[in-house]
Amino acid sequence: MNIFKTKLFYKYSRNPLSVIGLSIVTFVILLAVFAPLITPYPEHVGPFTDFANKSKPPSWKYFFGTDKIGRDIFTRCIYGYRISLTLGIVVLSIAAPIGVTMGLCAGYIGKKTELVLMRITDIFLAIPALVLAMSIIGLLDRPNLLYTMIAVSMAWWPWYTRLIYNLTRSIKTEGYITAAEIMGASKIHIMFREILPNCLPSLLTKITLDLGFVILVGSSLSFLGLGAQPPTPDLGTMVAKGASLLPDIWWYSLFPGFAILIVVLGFNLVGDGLKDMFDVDV
Amino acid sequence: MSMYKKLLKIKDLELSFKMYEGMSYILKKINLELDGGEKVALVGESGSGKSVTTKLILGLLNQKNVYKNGKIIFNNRDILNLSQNEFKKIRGNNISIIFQDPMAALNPVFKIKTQFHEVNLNYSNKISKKDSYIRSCNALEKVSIRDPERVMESYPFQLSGGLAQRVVITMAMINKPELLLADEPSTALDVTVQNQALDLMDDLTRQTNTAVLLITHNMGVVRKFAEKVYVIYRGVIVEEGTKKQIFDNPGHPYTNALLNAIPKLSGEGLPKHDENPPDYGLIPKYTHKSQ
Amino acid sequence: MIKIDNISKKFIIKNNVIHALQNINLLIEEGDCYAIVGESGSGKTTLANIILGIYKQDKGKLWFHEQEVKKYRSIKERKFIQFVQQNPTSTLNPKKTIRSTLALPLKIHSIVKNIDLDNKIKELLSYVGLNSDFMTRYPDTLSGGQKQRVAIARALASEPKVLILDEPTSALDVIVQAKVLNLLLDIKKKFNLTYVFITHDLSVVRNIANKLVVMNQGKIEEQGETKDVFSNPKSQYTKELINAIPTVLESEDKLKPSLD
Repeated sequence: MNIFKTKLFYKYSRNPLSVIGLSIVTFVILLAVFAPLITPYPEHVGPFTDFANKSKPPSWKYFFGTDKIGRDIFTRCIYGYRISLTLGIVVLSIAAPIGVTMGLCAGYIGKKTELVLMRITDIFLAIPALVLAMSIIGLLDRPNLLYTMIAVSMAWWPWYTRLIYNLTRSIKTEGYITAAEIMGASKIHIMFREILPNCLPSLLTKITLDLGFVILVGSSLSFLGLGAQPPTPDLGTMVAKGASLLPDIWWYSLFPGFAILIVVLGFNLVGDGLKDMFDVDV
Repeated sequence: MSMYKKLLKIKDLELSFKMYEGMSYILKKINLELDGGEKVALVGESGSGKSVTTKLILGLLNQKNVYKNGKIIFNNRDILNLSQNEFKKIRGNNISIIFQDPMAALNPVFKIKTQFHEVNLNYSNKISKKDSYIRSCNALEKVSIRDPERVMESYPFQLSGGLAQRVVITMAMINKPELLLADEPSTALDVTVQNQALDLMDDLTRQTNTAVLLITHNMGVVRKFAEKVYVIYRGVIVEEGTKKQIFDNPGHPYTNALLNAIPKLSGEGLPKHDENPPDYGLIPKYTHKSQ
Repeated sequence: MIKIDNISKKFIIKNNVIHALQNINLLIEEGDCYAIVGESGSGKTTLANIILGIYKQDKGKLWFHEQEVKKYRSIKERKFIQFVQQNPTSTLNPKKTIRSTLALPLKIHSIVKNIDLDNKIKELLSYVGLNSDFMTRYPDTLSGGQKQRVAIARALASEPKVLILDEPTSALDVIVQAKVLNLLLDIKKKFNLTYVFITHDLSVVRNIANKLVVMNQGKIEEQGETKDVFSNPKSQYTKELINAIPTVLESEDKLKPSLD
């Protein structure tokens, strides 16, 4: 089935911004996937030093310039996208299933389940994501990327619970749910095979929008030193390291910062496009 | 017959929507006329285009993918392509509408008195809340609502279906419009209440000489209420005549199919239906001779 | 076959007590097409929901084949009473194909082996006059009448003995309604079913039901054989209901009872 010819794509592309967003996201994904092939200095990603070429401004040899120990910033930005996208995918792969399952159970199983699950959710929702993530990382050993991912997932799942809980509550009054109950379908079947498919438009939209935000939160944590540790090329860390060198050595912070901006913007535009296309509210 | 007597004249009206799958032809050159004070029914099933006709009369279809053609002449003026500002002057004043579900027509978060006030502002945009209240109470009393103050202070959900529809009808008629559009006004109501609503509409419109265009799929309602009938099938008017002509001597096979499909009180069994009905739109229109 | 034994139910909404059903006693026998007639607020839908196990009655008992039936039902108990809803738009899951919708009851009640699933689904569709092309379609491409036919096929899938039909044709156009009603009668004969037909439409009742009960605000106004109730209605409310029917023939007008 040719995706571009479907009715769905037609509806999606009515807004030019959505198409721009989709192009940005596709571009970033391609960059990340093919990083070893397109970057000029893939060896600069690992432990590498070249003090002869340190802090060089952008040139034809080093597109984005070099950092304090001579590594090519352009190469490290592209590899940085790998880290960002991995972060986004892993976090949401943990947060979404947990949140969705809890939301379905809270919305459908019964009053007692609803009470317990939603109170737990409310507690987590009351704490700002960044603060919660920081506390969790603080409790663990030395900070690293894995811990960052776990921490952000813990801060993220309640939002899915809330979304799915609300959707479940309205969907469960629909005729086809009653029909399935009368037929003798089990609660598990009804939650996952009848209700969940009807939540997909909202769910997919939210996941897309969240990818951008997770990357932003992850970068903020890295900026504070709580994310990926050197020599891993993480965009947030790079911005942090270059912050003290501004404004003279501007290229060290600007390009990674810009890279973050582009990817978050892309996901936001795609998310908005999906929101319009599916006509949902997340 | 002088043109000035015709309150509403729809001439060769066409309507299509541009969709992803292609063009969708909803109305295919329909013609319809209404005299001042006349009660006309436009009867058809779902998909016939009867409801969009009212939307066109009120200027409510203006999206990019809507294509309109033909004329809607109201009071000697073609209103098909008027601006929204012009329509605002006409709506609620010269042309009023009642919908199928009174609860959908009434805003659930405002009291009845507030909603009446909005309607009264169409009549005179300087009317005070106090005068508006009095005007509305008088109108409610005239329709045999004995405790108008209680109704005015209520929210829509506190009223029964029948009472809500009476309120909606009163609101629609309070500014004495020249034309009342009634889109399936009794379908959401219980049968006993349905007749009361129709009687009320009949009564009020007679007092103010308001013409009524009744949109419905129910032939029984048509028989009770209308003087003249247009039968519409998939965007085409297939029969036109007075009530007596249509019910005593239906001319078009579609009208016959509609009448036959209704289960009868005599209990002779379920109506038989045609397994492979023809495309009724291809059979030429049947116009009864005018009297 | 189904005995409603002194059933009452009330609802409490915002400090208002609504007596939806008060001491209802009915007997529905095998092979009946039993109509429950009433306007909104009569309690007819509440009664249907109790029979289906959606609500639990406050007082009284429900009997099916001389066994008492409670709200909680096992899968075996669910098999025998199925239903068709009023609103064709919401009765089918928009995200499931027709095949998937029909396969569900077949799987739950193990009607056929998995290999024979597709054949059985085609068979069900043929009972309701739809060809096998419909299997891969989604509900949003079907008309109201077609959706109701699928709903009927789904109800038949578990091989029930009783069908509860809650205003199954009220949302349909009159010509489509005639087709679906005829279909329902054919199926009743073919599979020897008992129908409980809930409606406000007396003209339909007159031609499809052999027995009826008229309900008004939770109480029984009148019950009996259809032809008796129509030719000789005893309650004033019943007379008003019959009188209010929007008839289309003069001959029908004459059949209406006079109101005192």
